[in-house]
Amino acid sequence: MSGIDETRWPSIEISSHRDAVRRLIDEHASKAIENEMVEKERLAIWSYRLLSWKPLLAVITSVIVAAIFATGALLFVSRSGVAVNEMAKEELKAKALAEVKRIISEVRILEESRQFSNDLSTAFELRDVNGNFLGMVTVSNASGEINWLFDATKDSSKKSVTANVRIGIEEATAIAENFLKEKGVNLEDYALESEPLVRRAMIGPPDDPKPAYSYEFNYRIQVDGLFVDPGMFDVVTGPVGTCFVGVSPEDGKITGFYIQESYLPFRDMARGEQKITKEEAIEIAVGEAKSEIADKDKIPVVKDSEIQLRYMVGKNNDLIPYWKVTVHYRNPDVDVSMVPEAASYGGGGQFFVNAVDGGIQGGAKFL
Amino acid sequence: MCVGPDYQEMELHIKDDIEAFGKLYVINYKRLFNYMLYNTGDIESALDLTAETFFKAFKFRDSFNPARASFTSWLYGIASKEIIKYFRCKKRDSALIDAYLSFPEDVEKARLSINREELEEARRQLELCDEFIDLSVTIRKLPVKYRKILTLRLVEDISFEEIASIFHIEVEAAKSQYYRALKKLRKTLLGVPTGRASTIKGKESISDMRVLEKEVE
Repeated sequence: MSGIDETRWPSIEISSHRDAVRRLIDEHASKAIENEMVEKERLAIWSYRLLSWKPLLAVITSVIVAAIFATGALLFVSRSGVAVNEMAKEELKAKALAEVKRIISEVRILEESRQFSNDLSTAFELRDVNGNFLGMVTVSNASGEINWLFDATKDSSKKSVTANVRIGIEEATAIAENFLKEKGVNLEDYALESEPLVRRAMIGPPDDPKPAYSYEFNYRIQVDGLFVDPGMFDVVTGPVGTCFVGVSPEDGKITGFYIQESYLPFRDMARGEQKITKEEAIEIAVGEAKSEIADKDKIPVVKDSEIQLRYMVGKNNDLIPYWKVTVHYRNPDVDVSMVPEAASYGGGGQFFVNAVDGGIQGGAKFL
Repeated sequence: MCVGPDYQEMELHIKDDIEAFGKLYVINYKRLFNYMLYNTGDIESALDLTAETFFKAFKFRDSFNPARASFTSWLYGIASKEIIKYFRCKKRDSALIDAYLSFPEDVEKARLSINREELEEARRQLELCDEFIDLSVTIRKLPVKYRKILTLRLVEDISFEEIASIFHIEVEAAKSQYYRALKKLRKTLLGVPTGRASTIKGKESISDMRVLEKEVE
């Protein structure tokens, strides 16, 4: 150190905090992986729709070619085309504005965001009368329906949450389900993936902080009681259905939503026969983890609550049962009598074990 | 600063290899925590700021560009902004000090996981550092921009080139800011004239500063 006597200066480390932060980063990592999967599904639906539009695109192309030859009509066609486009966009905008106002009453202006728009959907920034940014929506160009809404007024820091949960879980569930039904989602084949009441923050003075909650309903398609994931070939097969609805625990208002329906005929799809047991899946995942651990002293551990039998969609539009196994790496040097047991874990990953043949179908490592 | 081929290799992969991020986290945790400690003088706040910095670094790891700065410099850049936010918030309303956090829930979880004995031991260690306590109290009276640069150079032993990359300024500007910070510190400590060649006597830490001052010149 530059002229400073280190012995008189602190060089402190609090390992329990260090490990806790690392563990929380682990959690962020696995959430990021899940979000990536949702994003993949979103991408897949666009690709899928695009594929299904191929015949339509062919017809449009023929019309355009014919129009080019009809020189006299060319000007008229292009001008009216622009007019129709503009009109369609205005209609889309007006419909979306009316819909958005039901959720965020302050919205007055919808400003198209070209950066987030594409051939299939148009994104709009939501602004109040003074032009302040309030959120964003994407609207399907085909149906005019909003398929994603982000409410920035609710999202920013603590506004979306409240220390006082005034709406009970039954009421919040009814609000979320009715909302999805209004949007045309048939919830018959969907199930909740996680507990909806989520603690989002601690608010208030540091000496008397209060937990702040939000309701987050995450639905996913289920077949035979198993959740369905997109699998490795989702761009070919199309996405699986997932929906999200946020409900304010304070007043029951919708704070955001995301709807991604699927075109897959889940009930009629062929299912692979599960042959690998839970114990065998754990053994396979642990074996795989061992081969990947750089620090050979660490012990792979699987918690019972973190293994799930699910389906993934195969490339032939069939359902492949697989075990989603989370493996944590435990450091045997950590004395669990001194620190919380959780502090002894660092690193690990998720392994997808094919429940038909025991092969590793994929996975993701985290810290 | 942490250098070496392994470190640089890990830096290249933090966006897609979470394990690489984890290794860099372990390497940098202690020094970042102590940097926060020098700046705040308070163990609890330093812990929260350290956690917040790493959560932010992880969330925005895509924005890290190894061609522009090392991972450690980038981390200190985030940390410096967090310190400014912390003091701004503290000035506004010390009762709502948590309000500046972007990850309040996670920061709190990490806080709750702290081993009490370890925390007490850290407090004892801190109490033993007389010079730190004397000098850090004075350093904390300085404007934040001086405080950050003094801590980085004086305590963390970070080169002017690195400091320049952390604050996105020229190397010469980093040197002159550091020199001004030293003068300000000297003035605050002893109330002496702040001439470039003035001599400071008395405290060992101040004589250390003379060495540093020459280094700047």
